[in-house]
Amino acid sequence: MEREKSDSQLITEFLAGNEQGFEELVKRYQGYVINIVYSLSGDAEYADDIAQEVFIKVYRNLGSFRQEASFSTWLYRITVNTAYNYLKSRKRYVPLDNIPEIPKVETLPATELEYKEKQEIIKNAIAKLPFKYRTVVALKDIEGLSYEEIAGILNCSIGTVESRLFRARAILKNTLLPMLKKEDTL
Amino acid sequence: MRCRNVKKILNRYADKELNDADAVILIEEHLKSCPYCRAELDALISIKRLISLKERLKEDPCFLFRLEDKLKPQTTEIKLQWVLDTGNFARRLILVPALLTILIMVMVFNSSASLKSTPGGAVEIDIVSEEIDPFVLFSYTLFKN
Repeated sequence: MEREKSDSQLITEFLAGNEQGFEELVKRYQGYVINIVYSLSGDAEYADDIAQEVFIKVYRNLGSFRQEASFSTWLYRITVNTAYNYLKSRKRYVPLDNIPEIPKVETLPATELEYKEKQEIIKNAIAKLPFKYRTVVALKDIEGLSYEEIAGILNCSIGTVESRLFRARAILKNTLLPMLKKEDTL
Repeated sequence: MRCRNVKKILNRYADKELNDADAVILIEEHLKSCPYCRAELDALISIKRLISLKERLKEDPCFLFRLEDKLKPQTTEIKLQWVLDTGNFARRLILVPALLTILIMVMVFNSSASLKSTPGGAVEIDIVSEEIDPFVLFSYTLFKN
């Protein structure tokens, strides 16, 4: 079985003129990029477009990537910045007092309704967080990255990552507490 | 270990980011006897679990194809953009020789032939020189039409 090539090898191939190196990187990281963007923007419709923009930036700038950090750190940094710029330009956020009502779909089975309700609540809870808190929650609790990796992506200290996570979870605890109580009674 | 100190590192403990083995032992000892910190940890773990349940978007199999389409036209676009960006100087560089050529053609045409009308209304060329430039003749034909 052929051993999977490392990111560095794929980058070297691409810079030598082999486009397949870049294609392989896209296939490898496409899912992560789209979902980070989705977590940060809350917008499934535009997540794909923003992810495309991320990879276009990667394609254009891979030649100047010095590989001081890992490729994934660099890629996720571009992803976070691109999502931030998108949000800034569209001013997309969920105001604190304006959580949309979940429409009742009576034709769906109870478990599916419950699932959809839960997803909406979680999505809105994350969307209400300030961007810097939302970012650490997305990278830690959704993508499962380490404090060190997150610190590298955000170009801050591990202490800052920890502090932001602490504050984000304190806010989320209040927002998600009813759901937590419901889970306890089940 | 006091509750105040435990709360400071409880997030790190819940995230399994506590590298200090001694600190881990101290926290776990504290949690056995402190229901408040235990409840705090349980809430933290529940929130993490809920967040991790957030729906993930599925990978689109056509993502790479659409990306390649967006990357391909760039070389043409860059060239077109370069032409548009080169400005008045470049345009003058192209237009001026073109205008000069047209002017020379008109001058050559005027100097090498004179027109006279025949009684029938046709226009004849009075050939001054024996050799007519075919290009001049062609230009006259076009002009006449």
